Amino acid sequence: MLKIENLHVSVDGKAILKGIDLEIAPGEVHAIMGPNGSGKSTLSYVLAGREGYEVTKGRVLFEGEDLMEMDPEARAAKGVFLAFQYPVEIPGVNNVYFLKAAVNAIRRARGEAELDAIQFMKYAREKAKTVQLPQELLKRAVNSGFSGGEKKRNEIFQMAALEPKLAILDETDSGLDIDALRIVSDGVNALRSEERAMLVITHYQRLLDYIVPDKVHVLVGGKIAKSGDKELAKELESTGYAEIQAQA
Amino acid sequence: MTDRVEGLMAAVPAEPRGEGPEWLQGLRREATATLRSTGFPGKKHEAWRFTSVRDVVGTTYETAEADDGAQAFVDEALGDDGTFRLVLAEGRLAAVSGAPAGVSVRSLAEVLENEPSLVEPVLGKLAPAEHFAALSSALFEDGAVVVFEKNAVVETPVHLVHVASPGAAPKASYPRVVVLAREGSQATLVESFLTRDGEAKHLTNTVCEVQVGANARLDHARITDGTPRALQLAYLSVALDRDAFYGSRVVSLGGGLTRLELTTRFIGPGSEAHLDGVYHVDGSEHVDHQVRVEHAAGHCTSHVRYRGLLDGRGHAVFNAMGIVQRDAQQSAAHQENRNLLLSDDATIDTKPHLEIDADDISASHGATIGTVDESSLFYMRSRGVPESQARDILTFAFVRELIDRIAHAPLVKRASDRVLDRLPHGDAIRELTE
Repeated sequence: MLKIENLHVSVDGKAILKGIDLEIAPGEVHAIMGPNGSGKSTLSYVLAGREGYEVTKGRVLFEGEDLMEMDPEARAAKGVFLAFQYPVEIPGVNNVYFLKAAVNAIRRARGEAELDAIQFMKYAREKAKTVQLPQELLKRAVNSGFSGGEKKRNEIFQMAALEPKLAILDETDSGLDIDALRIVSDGVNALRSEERAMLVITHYQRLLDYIVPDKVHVLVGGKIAKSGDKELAKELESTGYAEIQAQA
Repeated sequence: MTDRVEGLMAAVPAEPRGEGPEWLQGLRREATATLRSTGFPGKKHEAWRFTSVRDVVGTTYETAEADDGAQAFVDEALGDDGTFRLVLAEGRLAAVSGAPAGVSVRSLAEVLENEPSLVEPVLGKLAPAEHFAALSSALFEDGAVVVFEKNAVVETPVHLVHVASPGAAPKASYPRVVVLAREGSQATLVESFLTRDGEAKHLTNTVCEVQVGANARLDHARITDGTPRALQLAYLSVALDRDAFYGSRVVSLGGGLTRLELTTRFIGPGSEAHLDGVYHVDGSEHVDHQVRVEHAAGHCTSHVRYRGLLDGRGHAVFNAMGIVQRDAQQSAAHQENRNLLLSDDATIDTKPHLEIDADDISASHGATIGTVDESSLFYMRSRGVPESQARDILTFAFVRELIDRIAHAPLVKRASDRVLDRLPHGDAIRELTE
């Protein structure tokens, strides 16, 4: 589904990613771990299409198409979703209106009929229930005044509503207490399926106790220094990144 | 600039209007004398630096007569908005009936004839004594007097709809409004300014003086729909007694020239004023807000929050002046002006500032001029919302936050609709938000 080949990315002329190779098949959950500054968030942003990230070498194919050629909204329409590390507060834009605009834009792009206001509210309520998002958050401005946990839950809610093929979760666990972490993880696990791939980026091994990955990659200095199965995460927990960093 | 003012100055009689009580005659005499000696403001006046009135004062106007069709026009334009609505056609108030309990609305001409003492403490006492405010004092014939009785809680908003009806030749009207919110009253007042279609220029020169009594709460929305031929100069002067609340919700949408000089004075301790404003300019429109807050008593709080959308070759001016006098300790004075530039050719001149003579206060002021927030834009696009739609949604959201603070839901809807009518993809956003 996703094929990253020798990806080099610079920000403001500074090389951040220095040759990433990664392939994710439908139904798989891959975790990317790594110390601060290793390029984890750069990878998530470049996949979602944020401006300011220059691909200097390599390519990214999504279902055989060149992802880097697409606008962010086109990527979303193809089925790419990024759960932000720091979800953006948008005062004055109602959460449910925002999501309606998003869902209908994606449906339009896919040639599906748009949902009207009543159909959408029903749909949104059902999705909110599956990720345990309090109904009152639907009516508030997007992430505005939300707690850290509410923001992350709102990301998972949007993911549930948009039903992406590839979900990228950028440090969705950072800053969450254990209850919030459980709720967010349950939401993510409920969305795991044979057709859907996930790329879970995290700083902490703890998340992978709740969202169990098929593969784990360690990102160090802009390169994948080591890959393995879920046991690699446990190993890292006891040894830390120092050993891998030294090898890299 | 005083040598350029023959046109409008021609409306000012050599001898002031003679009728009415002595205090009124005195007011008119002084206003006439001030006008004749100092004339109208030019660019050397700080408050008029960025707004030229050459065109306004260079024109000779007929005095506008009331338009018989105004009521029908308003009913069609506004529909049923759940307010107690009164039409002032060219400043003239028709007979009033059916006011909600605790409110009286009367014609100013009638009050001056039968009970001038009602307005004597306020009329000409709160508004400035020069320039176009003096022109109003010299020339006004009618307007409205709104009294919210002591301790009255009035649920239904009282809505004054000012209608200007331009004709074949330039016309001018001078609506004058006095509002007395008595002690302990709680009410919502709305003023709407509508201009009918017409060929020639039309000057609406308004003065509104508002006295908010002790412990009273008044929410005052003021929605101006401009047209290219409409010249709308307005003064809104408010005095707050102790423990009072005044919420001003200004929405100024375009117009050839739309200018508001809002002055809020705290004369008793413990009061609070929220002064919100939203404006939009496009084409060659010009909108100017001058917001002055005077803290003459301690323990009062003022929040000035104005936001503008600037498109086309539009020009907006924002000037806030917060004055905290020496004895006004424990004051809080905050000013914020934010602008979204939607075109390279639009202009904003903004200057929030404070003059503080007390030492135990909190104050802040700031102005921003920018474009749509890039991180919000990316967030929305990453969810599939096309860039142009995301920009429009964010543009509307920028002002919507303040519009939502208008006290009465149908008015929030009307103000939102009028902003959306003026935005490029307004209909798409409207559909989304309904």
